[in-house]
Amino acid sequence: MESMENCKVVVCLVNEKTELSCAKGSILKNVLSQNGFFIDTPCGGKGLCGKCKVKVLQAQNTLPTEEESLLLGKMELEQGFRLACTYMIQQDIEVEMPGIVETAQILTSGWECETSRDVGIIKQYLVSGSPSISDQRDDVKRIQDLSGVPDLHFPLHVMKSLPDILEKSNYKTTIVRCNNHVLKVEAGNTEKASYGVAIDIGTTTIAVYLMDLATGEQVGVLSELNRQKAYGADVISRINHTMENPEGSEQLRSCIITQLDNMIKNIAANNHASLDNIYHMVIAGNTTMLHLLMGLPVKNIALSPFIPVITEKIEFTAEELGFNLGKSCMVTLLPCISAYVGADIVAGILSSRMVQKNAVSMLIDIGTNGEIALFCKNRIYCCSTAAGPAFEGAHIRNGIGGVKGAINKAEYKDGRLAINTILNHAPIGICGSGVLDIAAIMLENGIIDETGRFAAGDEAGLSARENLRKRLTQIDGQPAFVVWSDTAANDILNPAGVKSIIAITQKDIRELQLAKAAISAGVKVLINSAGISMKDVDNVFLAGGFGSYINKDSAIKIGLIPAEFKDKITVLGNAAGTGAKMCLLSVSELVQTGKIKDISRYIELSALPEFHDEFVDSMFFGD
Amino acid sequence: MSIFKEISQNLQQGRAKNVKELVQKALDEGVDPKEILENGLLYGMNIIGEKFKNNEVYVPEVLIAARAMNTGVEVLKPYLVASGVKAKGKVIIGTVRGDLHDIGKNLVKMMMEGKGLEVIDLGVDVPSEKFISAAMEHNAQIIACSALLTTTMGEMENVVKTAEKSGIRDKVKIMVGGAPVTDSFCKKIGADCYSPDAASAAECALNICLAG
Ligand code: B12
Ligand code: FES
Repeated sequence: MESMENCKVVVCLVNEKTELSCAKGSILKNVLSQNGFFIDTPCGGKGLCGKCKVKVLQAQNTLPTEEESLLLGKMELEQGFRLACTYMIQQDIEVEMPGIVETAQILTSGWECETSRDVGIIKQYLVSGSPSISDQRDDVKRIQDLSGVPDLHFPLHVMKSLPDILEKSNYKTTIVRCNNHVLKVEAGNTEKASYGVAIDIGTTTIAVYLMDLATGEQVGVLSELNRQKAYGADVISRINHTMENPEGSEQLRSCIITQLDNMIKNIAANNHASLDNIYHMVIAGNTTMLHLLMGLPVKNIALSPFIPVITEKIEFTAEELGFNLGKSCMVTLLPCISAYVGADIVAGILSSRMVQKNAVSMLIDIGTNGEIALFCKNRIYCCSTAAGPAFEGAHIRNGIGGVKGAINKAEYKDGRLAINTILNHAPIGICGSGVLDIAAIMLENGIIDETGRFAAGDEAGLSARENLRKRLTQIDGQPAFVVWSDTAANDILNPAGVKSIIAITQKDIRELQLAKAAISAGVKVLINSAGISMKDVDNVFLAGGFGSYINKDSAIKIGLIPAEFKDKITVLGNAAGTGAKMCLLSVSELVQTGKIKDISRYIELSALPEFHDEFVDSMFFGD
Repeated sequence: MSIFKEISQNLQQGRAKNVKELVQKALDEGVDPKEILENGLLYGMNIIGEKFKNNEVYVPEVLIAARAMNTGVEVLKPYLVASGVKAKGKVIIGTVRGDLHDIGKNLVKMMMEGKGLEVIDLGVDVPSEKFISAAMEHNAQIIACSALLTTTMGEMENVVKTAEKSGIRDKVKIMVGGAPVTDSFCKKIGADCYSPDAASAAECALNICLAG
């Protein structure tokens, strides 16, 4: 065996320094994440995205890898920037981490819809007389008789605690049950203290809602970025992590469980609820997220023919899944439809109420994967179309997620380009909704034509509006449109002197064309499958964060959403979260998710030549 | 305007019908079929390839142009065969097992054809053994594999290994590509050539065939 040499890594984060030690030859990203320093690795550490850059103070001592030269450019390399996912530690180093990850804009609100209240968790306060020589009924029987529930079932762990609780409480107890299944017996009257949590596990973000089961009210909400991000931004990168590392599946499982445990602990504490009074968790999420939560193998989800282990609704105790909440809390994972249409969409469909309406409705969740469902004549047609991460800012030169300082809106009015950033912070990049707005402006004003091409030098003179034309420049050898620059946001002529530029390049427009074509082709395929036409659609529901933040006119302008949908759009917000809450509060809603699954027909686009044609046709802008 | 230029321009604009007529017209006028192919069709396709590489045109334009080229080639085929024009090389192409993305692969195929190579397309979800047996059957110089998923990239390594096992590794060059593939990945798995886009892929393939 080779002798193990250790290296020292000093991590500087804002004003704090932490010293770590690792084996020589370790990859920096691994050392950082193993020690709890989270860095963003959208491509899963494959050296493809360049977003994991950190400043290594002794960088000049090792040669940059090919990926680094390609993604970082000369200037950054000279300043010591390196990719954490390819940088191999050969000596003691000092690393400067980028500023703390700014809190992202996470959507937790959703539209509220009437939910019937028939909570599955029932608490019953029972006062039974003490046993005596003339009443020798056993403990279980004593409670059974009072409860009025035939065949009331007591699991072993409840029976073990029963004598103590009965005695201590002077035979005044509250039982917690779900149907005829006892989850817990508590001393005294605790009928009012009854909570449940509804959870939406998104690939990027997690939302946890604490609900009062006695009143049906939402007590609190908490959201965080999904920490599994450290293993890749999209589902495929995470699946890949489980395929390449024997420990991978377990790492991802414990990552999500630990994070949820913490979030539940915090949300309970913030709202003065006791963890002991949380009896039910209802979880929505895409198929991969739910598999990872259960620790199930996910490899076959990624590869054709895309076979998940399970898509039915499934129930556990919290303990079985490894949560802190133990045996007396039930966990329900909502049903999925297929490998790429998950429980988040089922929950979204539920909350849109589109199945009850006697109308043709479509639900679109735009994200890295665009999931689309069409309800028509008592059937749901659905598909998943791989838009790619452009809407989340990846693969876009100055793209970033919806974080503080991201340009999220732009408007061209009275000859001025006005931009808006999240929390009005100085601009640091553009997020998806900003990219849509800018692209729409560029298209409207002749900066790009309907094929997506930048108007060439002199041509631009004729077609593009003068004051926008000034923003045209060349970046990395391609035409680019300056959205914002450090000097003066309004007259940018000479980017050479400009320190920092936020621009949209020709390549960015091409990425956008791929992404929007994928969504719009998915929509068209479903419409064709149902044998109807665009104008037959009565309601369009936009689910998910992206759909809530975008400017609908821009989306229509660039052809992401068909123009026929214009006045029919309802924004649902976090529809998956709303659906999960509904299921927590009502057994019949939970049953309804099963019905939604039953009437759904999944359309696999990979096997459809028609998709290919629609996809290519949709790449151009306009009709 | 020379007939070559006319063919090339109509091809670039994707006007299949015009291309077909022009090729026929040129043949009727007694122009050498080989020259029609090289100076008209392939010339036009290469311009499209260059423009695509520089992001000046995009996927739809390339596909339309390729369709126009194919209609032209159909007309020419019998004459080319008669005059004994041979392809400059043979390429086996396919998307690897587990992966069904084929738009990029199809573009690569078209560009290679645009360079005068014969391309045998195995489609999508192709197991490594099939790449190898096809290469042996057709006596191809190149195996070109495409993968769009990080989970299927690894299949390319299997293709390299299978080629080694079946003893044809020194007879074929293995090219790899697709969005997640990089040059260092290509080196890592012991493949021969990577290129980021269809136009340069076709150039590499041509160079390999000319050298071999
Ligand atoms: C279209 C598309 C689909 C279509 C495919 C249609 C078809 N017939 O090809 C459909 C909807 C069916 C689909 C399905 C899936 N997709 Co998809 N898809 C895309 C999308 C939007 C565009 C891909 C594309 O065609 N690009 C355009 C072509 C021209 O580019 P290209 O393929 O890279 O090819 C160029 C070069 O790479 C090179 N090249 C290509 N091949 C070769 C070969 C050689 C030898 C060489 C030298 C060069 C070379 O030349 C080409 C031209 O210059 C991308 C996202 C995106 N924005 O990129 C996702 C994407 C690739 N898909 C993805 C996923 C996850 C899937 C699915 C697993 C899940 C799903 N439902 O979404 C399924 C799985 C199917 C499967 N097993 O293959 C992910 C992959 C993520 C990852 N980390 O790996 C992406 C990145 C989107 C995302 N979600 O993030 N997809
Ligand atoms: S380049 Fe390092 S994580 Fe993507």
